[in-house]
Amino acid sequence: MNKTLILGIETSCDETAAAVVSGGSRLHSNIIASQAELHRKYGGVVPEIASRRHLETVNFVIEQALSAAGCTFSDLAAIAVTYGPGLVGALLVGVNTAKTLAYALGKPLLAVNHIEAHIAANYLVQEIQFPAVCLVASGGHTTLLYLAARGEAELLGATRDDAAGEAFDKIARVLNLGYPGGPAIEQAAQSGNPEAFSFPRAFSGRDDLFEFSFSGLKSAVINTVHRLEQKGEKTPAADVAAAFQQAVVEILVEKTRLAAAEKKVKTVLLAGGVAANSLLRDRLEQVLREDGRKLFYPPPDLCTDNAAMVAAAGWDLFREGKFAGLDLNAVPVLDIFRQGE
Amino acid sequence: MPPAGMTMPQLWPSLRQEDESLLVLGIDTATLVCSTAVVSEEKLVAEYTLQVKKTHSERLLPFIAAMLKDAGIDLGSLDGVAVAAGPGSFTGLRIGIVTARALGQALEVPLCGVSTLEALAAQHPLFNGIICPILDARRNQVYNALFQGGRKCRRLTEDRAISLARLLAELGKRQEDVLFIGDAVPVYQETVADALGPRACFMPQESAICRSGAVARLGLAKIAAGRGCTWRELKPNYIRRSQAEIKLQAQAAGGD
Ligand SMILES: [Zn+2]
Repeated sequence: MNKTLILGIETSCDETAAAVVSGGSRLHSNIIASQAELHRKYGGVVPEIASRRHLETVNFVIEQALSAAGCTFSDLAAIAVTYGPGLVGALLVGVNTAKTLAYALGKPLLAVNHIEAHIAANYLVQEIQFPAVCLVASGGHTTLLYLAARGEAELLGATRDDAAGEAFDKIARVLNLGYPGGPAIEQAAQSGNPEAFSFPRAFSGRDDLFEFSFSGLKSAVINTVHRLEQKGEKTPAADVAAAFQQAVVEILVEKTRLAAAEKKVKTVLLAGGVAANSLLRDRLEQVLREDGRKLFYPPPDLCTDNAAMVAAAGWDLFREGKFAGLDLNAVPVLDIFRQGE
Repeated sequence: MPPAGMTMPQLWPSLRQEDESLLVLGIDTATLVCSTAVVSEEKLVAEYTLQVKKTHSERLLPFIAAMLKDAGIDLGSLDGVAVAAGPGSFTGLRIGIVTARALGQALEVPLCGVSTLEALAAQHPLFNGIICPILDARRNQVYNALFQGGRKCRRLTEDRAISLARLLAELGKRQEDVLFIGDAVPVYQETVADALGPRACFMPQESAICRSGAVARLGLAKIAAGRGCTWRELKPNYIRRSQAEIKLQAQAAGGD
């Protein structure tokens, strides 16, 4: 059996996941138990309900990940877990499970930053040429990073208010399109006219070039819907969804393009749940090709939260011997830079 | 999800060997107290108890590791793990249960969830009267169950969340002395003393808090009797649903 098998565990939001990856890139199993159905009637993730479900599910998912990979606990080289950012109660389930397994099995524990894990999803798919720029966009984060090499992420900019995926969820709720908002908006937008409405795009000045802001756009969309309601008109949900999606995609594409140009990289990576949006992929691929750069992104099931990406990111910590202690705690707000090292 | 009909004797056929005693690890993180212990059939082997404002997540596992090391106990020699399964703080319960479940999965040993209230009461089995553990449940309620103390200690009510006023009304109908223990005592001691007069009895602090030694002892008895469970079955007993579920149901009821 391969000596570098890492078990990854992910419970930061509403997916309970476990996976086995070897050598930081070879996927042996990837088990995801989604809670989306459970939270749908609340229109968003309810932290207490998520924590309860993680507890009931996590050990089963681990058992399945091991059996699907055809290995046992004793074959593992280490155990990797997301310790932040995310919902604290949800993170605690994964962190305490991973710590206890590591202790009881006598294996090293690897504390993985969830954002770095999203980036690492790309390493499961193909060989990446560095340096690169990576856009991580999901329900929890919108972050631009410069990667000098694998595992060496430098923050270029992040969102000052809502994450891109969060804006998708809120607008989907306003338009009664359901939850989660990303796929709902994308689907509704297919039959809509993106030029039917013109929503503001916030492109900031020179000093905060790589920062994002979606709150102005979100308010503009909500105000438009309310104005139509007040006039007694039926909201053309498909048109609003299409115009909103186009605005978000333009902002993400423009900032990423600028970052890639400024850092003079040949490679651009997409990661996070919003990377599953096909309009974003197509537009970004197109503008980058015009600039002579190449875009990479993982398949949809590796874009949304999963544990394979956690195990892949754990590999970088494992190689450097950066093991976590048994006092590891969940850290709900966590920068891309590992502190205290 | 858990396979039905799985019983302990099949899973752990030779749990008890003639010449050696069972060793069971106890965990209690239901309240502010972080406590872990090891008991054998004869004695309390070790108990570490801490009552400070530090997260259980940071403390519990280093605590277990240190205690076992200090007591010279190999993790592999444990015959089971007992954990205070609730009621208590939702997050606290989860840390204890998650730790127990992972130990059960990694070590393949039986587990046992013990009522936090029963473990509190079990510290004072010979009290001549009613034993009344109360844990702070916020929202003007306490988690409580009543036990008849004495030579044949027995349970009188289920574990429940109840307002202090209703609990005191219930106890007012009885004649016996009532022993109050648990982390809600300091909060309500005056009200309780006013309502029940000299019938209300209180323990010194060190005898009134959750201790994992009692959890381990109750768990050992069940595990030895083949009434433990696997990690598949072990769940917290929250008593209450989440606020979001309660609110949604209230909305649905109001909309009818
Ligand atoms: Zn994520």
